[in-house]
Amino acid sequence: MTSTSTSHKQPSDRLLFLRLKTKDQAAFMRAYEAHRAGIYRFIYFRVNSEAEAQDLTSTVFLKVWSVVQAGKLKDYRSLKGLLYTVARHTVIDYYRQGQESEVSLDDETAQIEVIDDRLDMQALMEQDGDLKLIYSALDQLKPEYREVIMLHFVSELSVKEIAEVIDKKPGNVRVILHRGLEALRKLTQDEGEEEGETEKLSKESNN
Amino acid sequence: MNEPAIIQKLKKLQSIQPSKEWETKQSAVMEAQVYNGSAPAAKRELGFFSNFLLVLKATFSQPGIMVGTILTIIIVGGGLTTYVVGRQAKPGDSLYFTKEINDQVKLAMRFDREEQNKLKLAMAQERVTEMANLDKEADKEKAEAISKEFKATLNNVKEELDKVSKENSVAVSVKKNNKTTPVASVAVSNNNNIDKTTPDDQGDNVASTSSEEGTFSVATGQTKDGRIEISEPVNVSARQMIEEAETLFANADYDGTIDKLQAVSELLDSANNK
Repeated sequence: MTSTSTSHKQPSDRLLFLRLKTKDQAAFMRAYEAHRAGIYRFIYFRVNSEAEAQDLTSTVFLKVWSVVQAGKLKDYRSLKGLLYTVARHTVIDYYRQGQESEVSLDDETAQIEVIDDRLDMQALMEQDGDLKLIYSALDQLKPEYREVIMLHFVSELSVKEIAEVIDKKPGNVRVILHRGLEALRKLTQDEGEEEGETEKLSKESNN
Repeated sequence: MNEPAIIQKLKKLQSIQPSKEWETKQSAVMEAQVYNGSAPAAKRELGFFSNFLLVLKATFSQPGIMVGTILTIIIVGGGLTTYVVGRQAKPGDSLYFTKEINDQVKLAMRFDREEQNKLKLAMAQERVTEMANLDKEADKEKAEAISKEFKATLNNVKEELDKVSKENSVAVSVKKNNKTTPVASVAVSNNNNIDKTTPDDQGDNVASTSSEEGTFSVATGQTKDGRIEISEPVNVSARQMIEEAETLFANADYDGTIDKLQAVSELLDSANNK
C-alpha cells in the first residue's frame, strides 16, 4: 500500500475537519500527513525521547481515528483542537501510567539521558547558544506557561485552538501567554547575566 | 533577550522533525489501519462540489447563522410583502401607511423643487384613479380619505408654487432691450394643449399675453449669469389649472382631472427644461 500523495494542494483544516465528520478515510490520511510532524514535535518536547515520541504520535492518530469512527467529533471545534487535545491527554496518560518520569534539564543525570536520546535537539543547541538558553529557561517555567508558549509559538495554534486544547477561555489563554513570555524574558535575562559573569570570572582566573 | 528575539528562537524549534524513515513506515501502517485492508478505490478524492456542499451545510447548521438567516428571510420577506401589498392599498386600509412612507421616501429623494411638485402631481393623479375605481356608496370613509389626501397634496403643490413665485425674480421680457435674453416661451391654451416657441421662432421678443381664446403665453428668461428663471405666469397658470383640476375632481370628472393634472405637470416640466 502506497502512502497518500501530498503533491496536490492541501485542503484547509476546516474542510478536513468537516470531511472527518463524515468519517472520510482520505480526509483522515490528509490530516495525518499534514499534522504528523506537529504532533510528533509537541510530544517530543514533553517526553524527551525520540522513540517514545514516535510511538505516542502513532497512538494519538489511532485514537483520533477511533474518535472519528465513533462519530464523537461534535465534542471538538477544530481539527487542531481535536489532534492536540488527544495528544495532550495521551501524554498525560503516559506519565500517569508511570512509564516515564518527566525529565528536568537541571538534573545532571537526566540531562545525560536527554542529550543521548535527542540528537536533533543537541545539534540544534550546539548551533545556537541562545536557543539552549531559552530551552533551559522553558524548563524552569511553570508547566502551564510552558505548555501555552509551546502550543502557540512552536505548534502554531491560535489562542482559540489553545483554549480548546487546555479547556480554558481564550481570555485566560492570552493572559497565560503574556505572563509566560514575561517570565521567559526575565529568566533568559537572568541566565544571560549569570553566564556573562561566569565567563568574566573564568577569564580573570586564567589571567 | 527581548520578546521578539525569544519568539524567533522558539520558532526555530519547529525544525525538529521526525525521521523520514519512520514517516514512510508509519504512513503505510496508518493507511492499513484506516482503510482496513480495503481497495485503493476507497481513497476517494476530495471533490470541489462535495466540499462546497459540505461547507455550506456546516455553515448553515451553526445555530447562530441559522437563526440569523431565518430572521433575515423573515424581515426581508416581510418587508417586501408589506411593500407589494402596501402599493395596492387605498386610503383607510391598514397598510396604507406603507404607501405614504414610500411616497415620503420618494419625495425625500428628490432635491429639486420642480421635481417634487411633479411627483406630488403624480400622487394626486393616483388618488384620482383610486377614487374612480372606488364604490363610493359602499366605501364612504375611503372616498372621504382619498378626497382629503387629494386636496392636501394639491394644496401642498400650490403652496410650493406660491413660494417659488415669491422667491424668484420675475423675468418676463416684454421689450427687445430688456436685460434678460429670452430663450423660450410656453403657451398653454384652455384645452390643455401646450405650444412651445423658441426665440428663433419669435425673434427677440417674448411676450406674456392673453389671447382672445384664453391662451396663456408665459415666458422664461436667461439672466446675464446664464441662470434660467421661470417667469411668474407659469406658476400663476399652473396654480389656476390645479384649481380647475380640483373643481373637476369635485364634479367627479376623473378623466378630466387627470388630464388637467397631466397638463400642469407638462407645463412645469417644459418651463423647467428651458
